[in-house]
This record gives sequence, C-alpha cells and structure tokens, in this order.
Amino acid sequence: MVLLSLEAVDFSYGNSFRLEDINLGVERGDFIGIIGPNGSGKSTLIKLMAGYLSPDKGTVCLEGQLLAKLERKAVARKVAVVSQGVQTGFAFTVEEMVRLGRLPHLGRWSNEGPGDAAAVGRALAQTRLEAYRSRLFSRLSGGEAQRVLMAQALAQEPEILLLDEPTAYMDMAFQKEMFTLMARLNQEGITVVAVLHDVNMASLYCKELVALRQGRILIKGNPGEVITRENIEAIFGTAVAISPHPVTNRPQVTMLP
Amino acid sequence: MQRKVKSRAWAYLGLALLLVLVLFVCVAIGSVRIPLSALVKTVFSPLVNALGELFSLPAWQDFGQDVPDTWRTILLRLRLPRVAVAMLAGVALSLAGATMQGLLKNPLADPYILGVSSGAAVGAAAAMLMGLSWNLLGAFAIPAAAFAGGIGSLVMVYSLSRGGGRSVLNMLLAGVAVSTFLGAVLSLLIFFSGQQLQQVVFWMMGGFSGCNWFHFLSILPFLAGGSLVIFWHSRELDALALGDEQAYYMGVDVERVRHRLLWASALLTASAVSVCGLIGFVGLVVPHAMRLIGGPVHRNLLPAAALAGAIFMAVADLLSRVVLAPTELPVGVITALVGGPFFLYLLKKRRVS
Repeated sequence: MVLLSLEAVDFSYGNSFRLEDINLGVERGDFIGIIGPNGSGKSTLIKLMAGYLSPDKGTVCLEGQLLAKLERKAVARKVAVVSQGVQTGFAFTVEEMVRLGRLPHLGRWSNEGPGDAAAVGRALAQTRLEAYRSRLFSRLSGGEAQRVLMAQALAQEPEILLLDEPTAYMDMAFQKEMFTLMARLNQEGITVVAVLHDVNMASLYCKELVALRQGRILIKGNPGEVITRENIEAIFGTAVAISPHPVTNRPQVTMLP
Repeated sequence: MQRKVKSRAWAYLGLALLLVLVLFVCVAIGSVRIPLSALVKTVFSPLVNALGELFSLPAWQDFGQDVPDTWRTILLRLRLPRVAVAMLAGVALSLAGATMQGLLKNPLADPYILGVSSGAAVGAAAAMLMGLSWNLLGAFAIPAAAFAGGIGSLVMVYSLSRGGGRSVLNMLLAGVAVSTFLGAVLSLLIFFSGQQLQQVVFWMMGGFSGCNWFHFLSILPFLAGGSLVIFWHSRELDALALGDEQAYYMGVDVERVRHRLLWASALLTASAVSVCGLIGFVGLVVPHAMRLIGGPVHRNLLPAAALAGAIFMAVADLLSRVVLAPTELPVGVITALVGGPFFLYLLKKRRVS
C-alpha cells in the first residue's frame, strides 16, 4: 500500500536550483535510502515529502490525500522528520526536547499522561539517551544532538520516519548504532526514508535506493541494481570499483586513487 | 520527575505569596501616613462585616467602621487601583516579551526592539491628540488606537524583513529601524500637540500616577484576551523556539500560529502602553530571569513571567514614588536602572556557569 507518493513533482528555489519530474511511491514497510552528490536535491526532496516545501507542479499525497490539505497535527502523528542543524538559543534539556515530540498527540490544555511519559522513555532508551535526560541540548556534540532529534521524532510515534543525513556528525560506532536502530524500527513496521551520504552504509542497510543527480531521479531499485560501477560513476561522476561485502555480499563502493 | 514538579509548585506558590505581600506593601506606603491596622481593617472589613450580618455579631458588624473615610478613599480609590494597574502592565509586558523571545528564538527580543511599543505609543498619542481622554469613550478608544498602532508597526517590521527570507536578524534590524522611525513620529506628534501637550507628555514619561479603576477595567479585556491566546499556544512556542522548520515537523501550523501570537503580544503591549506610556526593560529582563531560574519550557515560564512581571512593575512603581518623595520619578527610569545591571549580571552569571 502506498503511504506517501510524489507524482510529477517539479520544484525550484528561484532559478538557481530545481527538482524535476520526481515520481516516487513510498510503501508501508519500505526502507529507502536517497543517495546522490552534494546539491543534487536530496534534502529538498525530504522537505517536499514532509510538506514543508510545496511543489510548483505535481502532487504530494499522504495515504492518497493531498499533504498540503491535511491538518498539521494529524500529519505529524504519522510523519516525523529528523532534520539537520536544529539550533536554539534557549536552554532546553534533552528530556524537554524529547517531550516536545509529544506535541501532535496533546490537546491544548491537556497535561502529558502516562502514555506520553512511556513514549518519551522508549524514545530515550532506543537512542541510548537515558543518562542524558538533564543535559542541555545546546551543549551537546553534533552526534549527540542528532540522537536527541531522533528521539524527539520517535516520541512522535510516527508511521513514517524521514531522515536528512542522520549520521552526518557521528563517529563509526554511533553511525552503526543509528543504522541498526533504523533497521530495527523498520522491522517493527515503521517506514523509513533517509538521505544518506555514505553509499556503502546505504547499501548494507536499505531495502531500496533512490539516486538523484542534478534534481532528477536517475535510478531506483534495490542496492544490487543501483550500486554498479556504471551507475555510481554516472551519479557521482567519479571512477570507482565495486566489490561484494565480505560478510553480507551487498555491493560496496571503493574509491580509486 | 516527581520532585521537579513539586519544587515548581513551590516556586509558583512563593511567587504568588510575594505578589500579595508586594500588593500590601505598595498600598501601605505613600505620602499620607496610614497605620497598618487601618489597612488591615479596610481590606478585611467587607468580609468580616458580611459574616457579622450573617451570624448577627454586633462586634463584627462594626469592624473597621472607625477607619476615616479619607483613609479608606486613599487606600481603595487611589493606591490600590494604581498598584493593580501597575501589576497588569507588568503582566502584559513580560508576557509579550516572553512570547516575542520564543517566536524569534532570541532572548533579546522584546516589544521595544520589535517596534511594537513605539507603534502603540504613536497610536495612543494620536488618539489623545484627537481629544480623547480617559472618559467612557477614551477608555476603550485609547487602548484600541494603541493596539492599531502596535499592529501597524508589526506589519511594517514583518513586511520589511520579508525581503531577506525573514530571518530573525532581519526582523530585529527591521524592528530597530521601525521603532526609531516611529520614535521620530512620536516626537513630531508631541511637537504639534497644542492643548493636549501636557496630557501627552505626562503619559509619555511612563508612569502610573493618576491610574484608577477605570484604567484597570478598560485594559483588563485586552490583557485577558492576549494572555489567553498566548497560554493557549505555550507548547507551540516551545516548538517555534527550535525554528520554523522543526516546529512545522512537530505539527505546528507555523504561519498561522505566529500571526496569532504576534497579534496577541501586540494586544498586550498596547494595553500596557496605553495606560503607562513607554516603560522599558520589563519585557526583556523578567522573562529572561525566569528562564534562567526555571528553564525555557513555556508552560512553566509563562505563568512565572506573569507573576514576576506584576511584582517587578509594582515594586518599580513604589520606588518611583518613594525614592525622591514627594517628587515622582518616571517608572521607566527605575526599571532601566534596576533592569540594566540585573540583565548584565544574569548574562555574566550564565557565561560563568
């Protein structure tokens, strides 16, 4: 069943950059990685899928209904976004940040109930942030801050998780942990769409890859189909070699010196 | 968790008790010396008298009847309304400040910097120059004109800052420009004011002398409406403090909520400016101090800022009339003298810790 669909979507920021003719259907249970060079429109695509940007042409639909017409809170109960570089001048603690994720589930005057506290506790546990509850968000390292934003999105208890380079500031161990978490959430039924700059990790974890180049979808398919020498060279414009991963056999990209 | 909630409840209780204490002190002190016993009798006599009627206790029925009428008038018709209006203005300015700071993600925003105060002042001054005073018509028209002026300046700031993608910085810069411009307009208005000069200048200096129950009742609806809207959106304010995009992803209808909150804070600013002129620093310092003490979550911050704003303004008004008694200082002088250094102290303390 198609959860989120983009049909014939065009979008441009002024005249400097445009996404053209984007057709993409995200089905329940998908784990899609969006790959492509810098400036190919990956983040813009996520913002269109989340409804933050509206297409110039074409439609973006959530469960068959136009995303722009749906009530914001109702959308936020289904779609959560882990975006990049959230900053605030205020001294929110990690726990306060994660509790904010409950916003779409709460009425105007209602207090947080046991269900909300449980969701927050789960989100903190899944991102291994229990010990960080009273730390200040603004003082965290980039990687830690991204885990907090992940926890905030999880506290929304969404059906679809959209992530914009969720591992950008993370070391290897945290990167692996983040990918493992995304894979586990996906197994639990959450649909995951992530912009990923690390093609090899994308190949190892994603069920499907979408490759963008200059604002167009160049190829989509499973990692075996997408990650070939010809494709990667066409997407990134650089010479590479492809070899199977020694353990999983998924294709891995090696840069040629 | 549990402990935190408890200590927060204590903090509110402490602030509320302090508010009542300040109310008593402000009413007790003044140029005419009135003994504390008379104050206590005046405050409690309606209740005690009523109970006396109910249970036919003659001693209770006579309670407080020995307080001279002049004292009673001074307490209930001169001092109490003045303190009450000062407290309302304090609530209005600190809630408006807290809201603007949340909206702009910037602890330096306040009704002044965004030009809303100047806009409201131009509106109120224009109304006064058209001959409106605090009679039955003016009691509604002056705050309404102040509101129109405040909204006008907000629209100016908003559309001026739109060009560059409406960043926070653009909005603050536009605010500074607009408020400077409106300050000049205000000076021009005063320059050309004939008969009303004294009324306008007196009001402009910022202060609560001459405030009565009429002022109180006329700004109460504006204040109540604005505060309700702001409290209604306290969670959205938290989300907006993380930026528009993040707030949007958390289910906030960003443009609509921002408009509502800007209108509400203009309403609050106008209600304060229309009675007490331009009083700075309250909207900046009070929310900031409360945020440093109790954290930035608006559901906790807003009630604390409202209480602390009332206390701060009432104390500032008290100081303004006792420091150089019988001369009264403009309240804005007190708030700036106390608020400025306090603000610097808070900034320094935060950097150290």
